[in-house]
Amino acid sequence: MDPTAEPGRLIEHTVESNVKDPDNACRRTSGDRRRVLVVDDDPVVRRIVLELLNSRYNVITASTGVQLPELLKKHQPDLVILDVMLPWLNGFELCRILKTNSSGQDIPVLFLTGCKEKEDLLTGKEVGAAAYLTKPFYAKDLYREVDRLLAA
Amino acid sequence: MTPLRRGLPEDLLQKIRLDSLFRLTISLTSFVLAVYLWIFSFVSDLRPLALLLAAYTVPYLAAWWLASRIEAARRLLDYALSAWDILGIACAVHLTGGPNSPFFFLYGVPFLVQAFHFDMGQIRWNGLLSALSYLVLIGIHRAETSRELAAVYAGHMLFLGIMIMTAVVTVRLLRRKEGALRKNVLAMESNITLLNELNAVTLDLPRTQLQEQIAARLNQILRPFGTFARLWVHDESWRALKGIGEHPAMRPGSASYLPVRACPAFALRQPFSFSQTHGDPCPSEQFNYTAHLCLPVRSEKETFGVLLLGTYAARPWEPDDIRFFETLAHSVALTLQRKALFERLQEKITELNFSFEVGVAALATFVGSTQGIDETTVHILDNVLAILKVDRASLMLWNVQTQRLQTQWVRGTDFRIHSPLALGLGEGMAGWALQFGEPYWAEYAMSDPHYASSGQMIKSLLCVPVYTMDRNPLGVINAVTVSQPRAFSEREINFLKSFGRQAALAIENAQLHHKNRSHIEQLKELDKMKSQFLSLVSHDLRGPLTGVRGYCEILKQQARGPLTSPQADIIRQLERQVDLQERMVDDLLDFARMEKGRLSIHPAPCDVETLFKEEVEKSQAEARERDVALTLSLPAASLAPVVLDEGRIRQVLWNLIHNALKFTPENGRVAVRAAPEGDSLAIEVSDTGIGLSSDTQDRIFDKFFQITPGGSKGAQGLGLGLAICKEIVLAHRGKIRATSPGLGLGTTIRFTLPLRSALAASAPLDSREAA
Repeated sequence: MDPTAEPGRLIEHTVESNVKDPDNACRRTSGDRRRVLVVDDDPVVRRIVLELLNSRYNVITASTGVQLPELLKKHQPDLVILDVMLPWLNGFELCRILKTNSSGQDIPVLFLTGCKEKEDLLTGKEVGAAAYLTKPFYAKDLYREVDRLLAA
Repeated sequence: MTPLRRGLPEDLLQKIRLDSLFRLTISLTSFVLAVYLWIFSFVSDLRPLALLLAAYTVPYLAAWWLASRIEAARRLLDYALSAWDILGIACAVHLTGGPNSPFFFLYGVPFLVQAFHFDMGQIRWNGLLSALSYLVLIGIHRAETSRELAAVYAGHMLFLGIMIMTAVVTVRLLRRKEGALRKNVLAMESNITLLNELNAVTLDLPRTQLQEQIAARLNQILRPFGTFARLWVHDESWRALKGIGEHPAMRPGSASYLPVRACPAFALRQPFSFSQTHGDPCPSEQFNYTAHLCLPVRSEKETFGVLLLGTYAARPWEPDDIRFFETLAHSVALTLQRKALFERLQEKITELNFSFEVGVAALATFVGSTQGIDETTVHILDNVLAILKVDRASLMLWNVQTQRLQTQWVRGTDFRIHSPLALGLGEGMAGWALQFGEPYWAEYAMSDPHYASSGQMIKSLLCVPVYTMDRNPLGVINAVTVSQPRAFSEREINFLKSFGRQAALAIENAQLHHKNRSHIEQLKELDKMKSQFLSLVSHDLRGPLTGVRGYCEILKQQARGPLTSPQADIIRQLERQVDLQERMVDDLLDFARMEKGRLSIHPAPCDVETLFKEEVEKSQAEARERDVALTLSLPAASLAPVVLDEGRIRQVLWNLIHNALKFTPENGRVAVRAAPEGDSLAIEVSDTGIGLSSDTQDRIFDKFFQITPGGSKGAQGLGLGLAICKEIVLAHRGKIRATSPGLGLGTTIRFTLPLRSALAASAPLDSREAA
């Protein structure tokens, strides 16, 4: 979906990162920290995840999934954390796009969402998510899942 | 039919045999007489007589023998025998003293015999031979003829002539009588043939075809009688007679229709006869018959028409003939009667079918009336089109506000072209029908005084008013023909009347349904909004919780500086509040699902021991805080895995433990026990808390039920926790119960889960179904 397809509406999106030079992030050495991309429309959640993971990983956050392909290309993350209820494209759709994209196929996806329904969980599995965490989440759960996924 | 015979005896063989037998008898009798006379010596010598008798008899015996073998020679033999007879008689007369012999009178015998046989040829032959032989005898005995004798001879000749004449006349008369008899037999035979044929006629034939067949057969049967027949039957309106059947004697231009009043036979139901010599000729035919006969064709019940018979014969019919014709007419009438009955039966069947069709249509309409008013009305009108076979059908609805009838739906040809016609009560045919509550129709609608023009050319119009169940005017159904004018039968009007009643019901039903449906749709909409609202609420409620918990977690990491002990304590408190809040949001959502009957469980085999340990462990912090001892006791033998929805059972346990902690004062105890019990697992959560009064024991699982604790703390939560627990346990096909010895004496909540669960590991269950 092209955001420009709907004229008159501005797509607000932010990309934050703890990486000093995000443009050169791809030029990393083997000793570099692994990168996590977080897509969530809630700045508080973005902030919290950033704070929690900051010490261990390079974290890039985005408010919408619309720039996901560019972000993937630019930052080449090792893990993507997605919210479900996102503007424009919801998390499931994003995940599906990611999994059909050659560059994103192998990146594990972690859903961090307020959707607790069994159906949502199943949908998450179906679209190829590696883990599913519900909000409000505990830091230990997040650490456990992220470590697990990045260790693999 | 056998032709009338022309002077020939039917069986010559029989005649010859009869004759031979007769002669033989005579000869033998004569011989016996002679023997008798000879015994008493009246006759001296038998020989000449025996010779004579033999000479007379032998040819007859030969003829007998021959006749049975050679069929062609029979007539010749017959004539030869006659000649032999005459010769014998002549010889006898000659030998006994010439023409004056008393044996002369034997000449009369052959005539009697031949007259007996009706044999005109033989009579003539015998007459000729007798006269000739007698003249020869006179010639032979010429010498002894005196004047007196001559007179006697003349007298004899006269006698002979009279004999011949008598025989001829007798035969003629008898033959005529016989002819009449045969004709009667023929007539009877013909009538029987006709009756049989008429009986065999299939009544399935169209009426005209049947009548034509009858007329054709009549002409065939009547041909031997020199008579032509034409059947005149009345038409539907009884105003005209229609001529059926053609025959060779008909002239071109013969009328096919005749007004009923022109036929007195039909009008008066009596036979009428006409002849050229007297009476008026029948206007129906231009055949120049010498005689006509008109017979009414009528059964005991009804009159169908007239059978007209005509003949060119110079001699008019005899009474016998007329009786025969009358019988024929009656036979025809019976057949037509049968046909009429058959038709009536068929009509009844059609009518039955028709009402059946109407019933089905009405039913379908009524059933269809749940579709909405437009579909229902279209269905009704289409049925009217199909059943009445009209060009257009429309429904005008009575508008109570404007007090006008307005066309709302039109189906059929040109149904789009209609000017909006608004009629008041009594205006136009439709208004008239509605005002008087009776169907109104006109074959030529546009010339009807009540017709209100809509600017369209129509032919026939039938308006049937329809009323609601409570007799309020609903509208008028119109059936219109555009191409051909047509009459509407009683049956059709009745149909539309009853159909109108059904249609009214269907329309009312549709209106009602429409109302209901919009109501249901509103409810559905509301329900949808409720669901959306709930999910939004839960999302929005969880959002801040995520934030609070997240920041707590960050603080706990002490990345921004170390925390003091009271600070850490505050953060723990905060986190517990978040937990509680999260549970409440979950409960709210579960409750919403429960209300919709959608609380589903996803059972899977589960290690219950770990589950219990973890859940109890989770609540230990809270218990410590409340200064309540929380203990778990499990049986010595390890518990087998149980098929259950792990998340849900955890929810139940948490709820029960949390509740127990909540209502247990400081220094109290909360004990969780689990043990297998028969084929189920029993779990107990007992506390030393405030207890339950006997009347609240059953109510604590009700939705929104709250116990206000005796302490200073107000009720926490929504009062949904236990209701949801009950629902979950029921969905697992378990049981849950609360018992308490009394207020202040603690409470035990006990629930069971079936061990060999009937729940399939994969099949999700609906809580309502399970309950």
